[in-house]
Amino acid sequence: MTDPHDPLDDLELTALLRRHYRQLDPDAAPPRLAARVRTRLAGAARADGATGARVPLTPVRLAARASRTQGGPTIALAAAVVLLAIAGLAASRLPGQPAAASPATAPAGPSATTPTLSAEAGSPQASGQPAGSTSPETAGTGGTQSAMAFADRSHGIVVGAYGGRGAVWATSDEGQHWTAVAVDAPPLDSAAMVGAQAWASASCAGTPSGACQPTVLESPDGGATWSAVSSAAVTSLSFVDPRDGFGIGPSSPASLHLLATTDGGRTWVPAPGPTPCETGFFPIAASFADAQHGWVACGSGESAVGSSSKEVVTTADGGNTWAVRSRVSIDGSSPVGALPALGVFRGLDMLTDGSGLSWTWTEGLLRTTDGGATWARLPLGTAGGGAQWPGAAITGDGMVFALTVDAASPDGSAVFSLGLDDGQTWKPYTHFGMLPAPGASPTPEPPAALQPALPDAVAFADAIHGLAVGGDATTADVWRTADGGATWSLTPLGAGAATALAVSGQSAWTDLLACPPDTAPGNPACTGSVERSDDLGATWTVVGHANLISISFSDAAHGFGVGFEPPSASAGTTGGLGTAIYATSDGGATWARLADDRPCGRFDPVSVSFVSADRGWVGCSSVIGAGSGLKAVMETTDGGRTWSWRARIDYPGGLKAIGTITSSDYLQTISMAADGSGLITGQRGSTIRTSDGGRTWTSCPPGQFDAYTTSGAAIVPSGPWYVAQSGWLNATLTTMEGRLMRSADRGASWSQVGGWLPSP
Amino acid sequence: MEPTAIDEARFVELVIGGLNEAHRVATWILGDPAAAEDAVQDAAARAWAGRTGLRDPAAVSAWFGRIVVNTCRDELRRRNSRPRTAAVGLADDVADPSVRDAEAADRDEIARAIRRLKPDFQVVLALRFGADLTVPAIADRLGIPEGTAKTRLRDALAAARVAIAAERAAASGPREARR
Repeated sequence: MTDPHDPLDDLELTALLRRHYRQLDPDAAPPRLAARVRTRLAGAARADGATGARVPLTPVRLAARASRTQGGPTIALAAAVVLLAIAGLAASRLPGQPAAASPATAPAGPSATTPTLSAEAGSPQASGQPAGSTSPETAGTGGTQSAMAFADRSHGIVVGAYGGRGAVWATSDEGQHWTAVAVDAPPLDSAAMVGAQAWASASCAGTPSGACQPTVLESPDGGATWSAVSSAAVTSLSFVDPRDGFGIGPSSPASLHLLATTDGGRTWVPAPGPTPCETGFFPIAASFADAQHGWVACGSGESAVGSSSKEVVTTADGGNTWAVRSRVSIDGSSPVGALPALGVFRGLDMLTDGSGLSWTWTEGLLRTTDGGATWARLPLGTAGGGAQWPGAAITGDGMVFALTVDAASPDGSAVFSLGLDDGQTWKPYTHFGMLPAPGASPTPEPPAALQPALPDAVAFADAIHGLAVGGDATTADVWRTADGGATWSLTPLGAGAATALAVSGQSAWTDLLACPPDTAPGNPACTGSVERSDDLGATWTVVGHANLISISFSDAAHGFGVGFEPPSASAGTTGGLGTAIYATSDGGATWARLADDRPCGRFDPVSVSFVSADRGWVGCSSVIGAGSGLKAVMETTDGGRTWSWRARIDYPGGLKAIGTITSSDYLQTISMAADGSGLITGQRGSTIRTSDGGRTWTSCPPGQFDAYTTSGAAIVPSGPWYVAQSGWLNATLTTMEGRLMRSADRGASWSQVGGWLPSP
Repeated sequence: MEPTAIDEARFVELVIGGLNEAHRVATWILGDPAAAEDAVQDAAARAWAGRTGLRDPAAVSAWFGRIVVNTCRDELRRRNSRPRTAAVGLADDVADPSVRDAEAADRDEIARAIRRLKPDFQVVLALRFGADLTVPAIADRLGIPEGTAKTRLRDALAAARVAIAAERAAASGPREARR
């Protein structure tokens, strides 16, 4: 043992410290961490009046929004292929992208940032299956996807695993539709395609030897039928014609080399010349544009905080000699070209003209137009920071395809799309395909049937005549009922979204919101048109302009709302930061902020309910919590000039509690009756009721609404109470439905009276 | 028109995407994965609460990384103001020194020594030797000038050297006494 009294020299000290921290390094992130944070932020989004006021950000609703926005059934489907249309493709027009879009993380992917040689399997772990990652297969949907290849912009394949065995998905229409076939092979991790000829391989990387038989398969018909042609362990296949191809595989048990075939994949031998990568690096992926010109992406064991030392090398003589085109080291030494340090190489696809793509597990795609010397990060678009990027492809005519799997989503994998528009900015490409199970019929026709437009708010004029508004991301709809909610007729209202609704007599009001891309109602950047109907929702007219998330009218002239200041070009603002209470006395034409427009202090107003021009309540909400939202209820009897606290629950140490109200869930709507009874609905489907003007609130029958998200509530004066909800119809979360609940005893008991089922 | 602020869903995904790395960094700083998990959750909530005005996705990640470090430093400060039961327990659970190998002894000594340092020093050591960040990267993460980061790292190393020597002296005392 070291003499305790010896002073440490610098080397000893740093070695001790390095060892100490290495031992501290957690093997994997806590399994539920992402889900917990997601939940907490979802709560914050709701409780945060600044931007979250009306749009619940629960994973379920978020998923629904995302899928509605993209026009496809997405969440919980295993993966999808995303088409990126690179218009123009002129290299010089590609802007330099900002360096790090997000810190690197491979969700639960232990080897993702430290590729190592696996002597046991003789294979590169970094190129194999995403072992240990949250497999989409666990969601029981579409299997695991590991690689992708396209022959041209129409014809491509995705390979991976389904039910533990190899599977291939093939498309012939730019990825819009896919057909799946199961193949008799281990999970596949590499794909190549030339014309109708396709190859796939299972390299068994990272699998104990014996447990997996490496296999190379060939398909003569674009991926429809497959036969095994070799038992070589090879991955990162790249074919230049039907006979000549390259790949990465072990040339000896512990050394990876570029392998070559000249007989269509039947035999594989080490390519001539030295190992492509410099000392300290090993080959991860290969791409050859023709038999002479090729590129190899190399990685190293050195990695830290998501960055890795890596390099791209190129040959012009079929692999006899290699030159470094770009290199980056995590310690910043001897860089060549421009290559981001973030991420670990996963694959490479290069064209004859020296343009091409590389991609990393967690950091998305990089693009080069100068033969691999400089690499620019392609923005992740709407894809999540937790997404993985197992495969990508570029075709000679300028299409880029990216396969993304969101392993971080608690609901399984999700699909994100992105695309490059006019060489400058990315936008979602509208066509993407879902991947069916082998044996299932090809990708079903779209999504419309599975993603019904659902109400976001409901209001009743009397016990039987009611309205609901809502819709999908692009179109707002109005539903009308004349039988107490048993049946509904739908008419489109217009482009936009509607989440607020009020009815008084024969008059109804809603706010048709136009929101910037990637935002939703409840965002200060939205602009709104106040729509009014005087025939109970049959016809509508724009009467004013405001960005409102809650509206309440006590007569045809007097109304109140909660919303945001409109953006002002002159003032240089993009809209108010927090919500405020507005009032109108001319039937919705003009809206003015109340003098005391934020009566709840640091709580943000979320919803108002007025029973007369003078008397009303506001429900306010504040801050964050794991499923808990601070709430406050205030009442006015002078038209909003002065407000009195009725109930409040604050942080420990915050304002003292008033009345009795739970902190569970996040306040979404408040609906009150003149006798002081009323309802508060929560974003997560909870419902609480009061019978004393909002002082004490008790839960409605427990469990009643758990599986649903409450989207709106309505109280008929001296009549029944209604709550509109939406939720997932089935366990696989592919279809949503809405339902209407009614209570005849002021919220004590509820029964379903109608619903909004998936469109035919 | 100004670029629009990052929308909620994107913000959430950016933060979620940074969680694993944040958890590693927090574990290095706090020395305990469970405490790190708490800190990361708090950091995410703080990031959310203050997100207004961020318009660049890259900025979100960098900013979240900074909040994680700050949250951990706050936690270290909080610990320092309480009795150090954990450290005492660690020292006392050595039933029989002869069964422990020298490396394990070293490890506990290093852990105790680091825990004696002031929070700023603990943070800079974790970033340098745990997260393997360069001095410029550390400066960026802490939002301090490079020169300050360099000085702080040097001071932290000097302090660690003294603290480790002290731990070793303390540890060898009772051990010899038992023999």
